[in-house]
Amino acid sequence: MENPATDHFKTISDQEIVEAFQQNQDRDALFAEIMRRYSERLYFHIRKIVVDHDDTDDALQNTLIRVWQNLPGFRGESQLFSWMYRIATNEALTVLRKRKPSLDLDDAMPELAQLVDSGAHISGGEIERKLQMAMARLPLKQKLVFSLRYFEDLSYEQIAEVTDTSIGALKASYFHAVNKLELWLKRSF
Amino acid sequence: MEPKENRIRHPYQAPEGYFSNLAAKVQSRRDSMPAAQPELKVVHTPKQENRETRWIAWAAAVAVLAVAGIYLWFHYRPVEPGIVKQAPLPAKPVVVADTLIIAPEVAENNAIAVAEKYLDEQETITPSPAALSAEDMAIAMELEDDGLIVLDMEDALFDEMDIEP
Repeated sequence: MENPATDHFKTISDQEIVEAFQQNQDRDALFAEIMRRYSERLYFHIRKIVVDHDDTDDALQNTLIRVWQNLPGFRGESQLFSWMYRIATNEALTVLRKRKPSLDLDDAMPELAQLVDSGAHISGGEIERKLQMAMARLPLKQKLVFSLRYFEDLSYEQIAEVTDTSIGALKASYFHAVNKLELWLKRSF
Repeated sequence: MEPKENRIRHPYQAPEGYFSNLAAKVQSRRDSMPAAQPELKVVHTPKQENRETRWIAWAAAVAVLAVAGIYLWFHYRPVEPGIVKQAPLPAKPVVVADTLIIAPEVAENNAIAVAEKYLDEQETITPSPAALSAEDMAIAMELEDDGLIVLDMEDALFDEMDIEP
């Protein structure tokens, strides 16, 4: 059954949703609209970082809870989706730190490559799997930048908002990531 | 690796119906969360005891510094080498008095001494006043003026007091 009020939320911008949420206007319906827009994108963003579905589920739920809690204080200094990506990235790193407490953004987690090969809810051809296995060998920062740029198609400005890194450093990270991945993929075929 | 048409996709899939159930799971977690506590705004409230403690601490610090400063000054003050200042000596001897004051007991002793001297030398109790030296004569006359003796210039030098001539 269609709800005219809910349908109205589908047509308004992110900024209007945030303003309405902060004015206590039907928060449940507004939050449902935010989830409808971004849950899937956030899920796959987290999934590319942590690989495992259950870990992704935990991180995604934590992300949405944090968005619900902090949206009243959201000041709009960045776009809503980049703010949510930032929270999701932090939650994904928190999940990884449960496996490896001393994890740093300059560290790689090559053990995730095994999950790509044997994990559940993974399909795709050989090239897709090999790319993900190669990405597991990248330092986390390069992997994150490559993922946001290549798969999510974000601009460097948007990635800078998510990662709180300068655009110059992002371009360098992406350049190194692409070079390494090309080298490893050529060797593997 | 940039061309979008040939872009490699990721191989991940979500379980069927996952996103349909996600809203319910998040709603369930939201409901199980404790109700939001009213926001506490911290306002600076200086505590009275803190002020008093601070005042005492400052006073104690000043007192300790003063005592330490005095102690250090007296123990480590710089001394100029070589010259030691002394009080200047008086250029002339100080004159305390220009008259000799003879106390009565001293005068009596002098009179006894004069009498004994006279007796020892003359062995007579009626000496002639001319036998007295000028100094003894001056003392005897002074004693007579004070009423201590009676000077008889003809018969005897001493006829009063307890002096046995």
